[in-house]
Amino acid sequence: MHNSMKEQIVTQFSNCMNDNCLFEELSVYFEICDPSSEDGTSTEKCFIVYNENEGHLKIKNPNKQALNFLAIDSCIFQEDTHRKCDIASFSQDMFYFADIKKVKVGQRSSARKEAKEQLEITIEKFKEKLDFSGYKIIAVIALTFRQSFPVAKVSTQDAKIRFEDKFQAELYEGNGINFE
Amino acid sequence: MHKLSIKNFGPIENLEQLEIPKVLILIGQQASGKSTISKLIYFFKSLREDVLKCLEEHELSTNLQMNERNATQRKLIPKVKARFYTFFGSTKYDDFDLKYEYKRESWVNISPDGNGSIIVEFAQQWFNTEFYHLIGSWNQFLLQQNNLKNKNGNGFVARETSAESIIRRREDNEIRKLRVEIDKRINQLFGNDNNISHQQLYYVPAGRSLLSSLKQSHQSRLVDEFKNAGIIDEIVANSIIDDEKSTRERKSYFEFFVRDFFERIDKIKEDVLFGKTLDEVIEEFELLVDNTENVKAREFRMKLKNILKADYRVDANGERLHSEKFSKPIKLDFASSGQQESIWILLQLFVLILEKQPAFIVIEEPEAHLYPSAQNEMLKLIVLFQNTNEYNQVIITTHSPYILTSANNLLFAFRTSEKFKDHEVDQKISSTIGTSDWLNPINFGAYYLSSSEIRNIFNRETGVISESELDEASEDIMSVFDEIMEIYSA
Repeated sequence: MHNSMKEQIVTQFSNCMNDNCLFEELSVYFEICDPSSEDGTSTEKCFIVYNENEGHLKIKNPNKQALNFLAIDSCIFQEDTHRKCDIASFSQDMFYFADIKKVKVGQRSSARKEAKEQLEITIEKFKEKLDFSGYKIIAVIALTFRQSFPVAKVSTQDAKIRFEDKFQAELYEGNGINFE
Repeated sequence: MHKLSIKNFGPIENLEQLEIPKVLILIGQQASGKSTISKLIYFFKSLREDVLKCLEEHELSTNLQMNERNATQRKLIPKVKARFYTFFGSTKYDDFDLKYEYKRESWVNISPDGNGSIIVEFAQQWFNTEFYHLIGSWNQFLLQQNNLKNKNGNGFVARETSAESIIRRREDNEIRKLRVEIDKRINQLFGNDNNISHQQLYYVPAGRSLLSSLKQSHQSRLVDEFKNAGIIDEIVANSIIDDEKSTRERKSYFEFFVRDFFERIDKIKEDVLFGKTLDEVIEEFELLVDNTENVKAREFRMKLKNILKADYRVDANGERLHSEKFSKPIKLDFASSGQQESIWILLQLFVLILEKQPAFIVIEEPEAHLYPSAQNEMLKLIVLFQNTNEYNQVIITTHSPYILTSANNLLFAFRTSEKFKDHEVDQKISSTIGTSDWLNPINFGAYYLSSSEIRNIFNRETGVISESELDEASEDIMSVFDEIMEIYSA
């Protein structure tokens, strides 16, 4: 019998409790705010806000499941290079990794590329340490600037296949996660 | 796999050993060298015809020693030079180097001689064993033909006894076998080891509808209009009119590839399509040639109609499109630009599938004037064509993100099928993308060309095109919109 995901994380990332990187959330709606997404230099970890449009990533939890929220960059990983994705959030069977990027005009493409890389590095690290059986892994790129209209892009197709092949993870771009 | 290397030719500074798979997609800004690469590949493949011509000029000899091979080599080089000038004009570049490898130790090298001409070099190996065998087979072929001619005298054949008839049939058969053997040996020389019939070469240039309109204009009115609008100058206008006056001895201003394209169109119209619907053409082939149903041709014909939104027919009244939307057929000159641009790619591919002849085809901008969903369908048809024959080969130059993402869909369908190797999974995939449209990544390559680089954009690991400057281009365009939106919404 596997330990629960929460137990595995506590065991593998020993600092996560002391540094308050992992906590539970039962709210129907909350948002994740990423201070580093503003200027890319802040070493403050992500935190939860409850007012609409105060944060960068919207989380819907209509069934009031016990969701776990894990601050990754600047918390369980303390390097100042921001090479990991920002947060993870998981229920009993869904495990989301998300990277938030505040994007200025003309930077969407490079931000997306960076987010993909950070997600890839993080998922790789987590998969080395944790047993994900029974979990569906989803990687989310959250660009905080206006979402572009869908265009035909080969780079997106290639990245989706790469995430599926490497991590059995689904990759998508959006500003929200829905734990239905 | 054939490989092309280029140094300082046209817009291309340096290209090292570009591998040429069954399906090659080239993207890049205008004047980045997509057509140069396509035309060079076409050129080097077409040298096969020159070798054949040399053989045909070759007199029967029992002496198969080196001097004979050297004589053939001496005959071949001027033919290659003439072809080069026809394709690319006189050499404007002082210093360039072109190398085409048909296979290991079998290559042709072209460079300038410093006096406005070119130097053509063949790998020494190329004229060794295989070429020696080829000359040997050709001599045998000529010998056999001569024997037969001597027997039959001056075309008069006396009534045969049944024994004579059997011997004659056996001899005919022997000649046919020798001819196949020669084709096989030439193919070996050109790196197509297992191919018994040779690839026909086709080039479908961009801007085909305008060029076609110019050519098909039987009155000089349209030519005058273009002349007055400054689109073409007087010399060009006169040459087009000359062209119409004398179709046999054309003094066309059109470059080789365009002229060749027109000639092939005319031939298809006259020889295959004239006076028949496409369904009738298929039926005729099935009855007289195949003796069986040509499933791929029927599938192609159905999809072709989806793109054209009409049926095509050429007869004494000219080329027309018959659509259910209109009570009367529309002359092709008055059809939509999308129909005019795509019709000749579609019909060319249709005839190739009917004829089941291996073919190499370059298609410039297959997306031209087509709605995105039709671009997707067009790519599927091109892939269907290449899938109909082990030796079919296609080069596509494109500016369309839809063509690239569609290619990825077809590649991914194949890969998904390979992952599961399960009939039920295949059925599921085929409900979205038909099996004839799946594209095997092994047969695929894609490159991005810019003024400074030629980059492989196909990811062998994921089996799809991984990046494209077209993605960046659409981001840039969207960014401009966002910038204005920021001002607007302030």
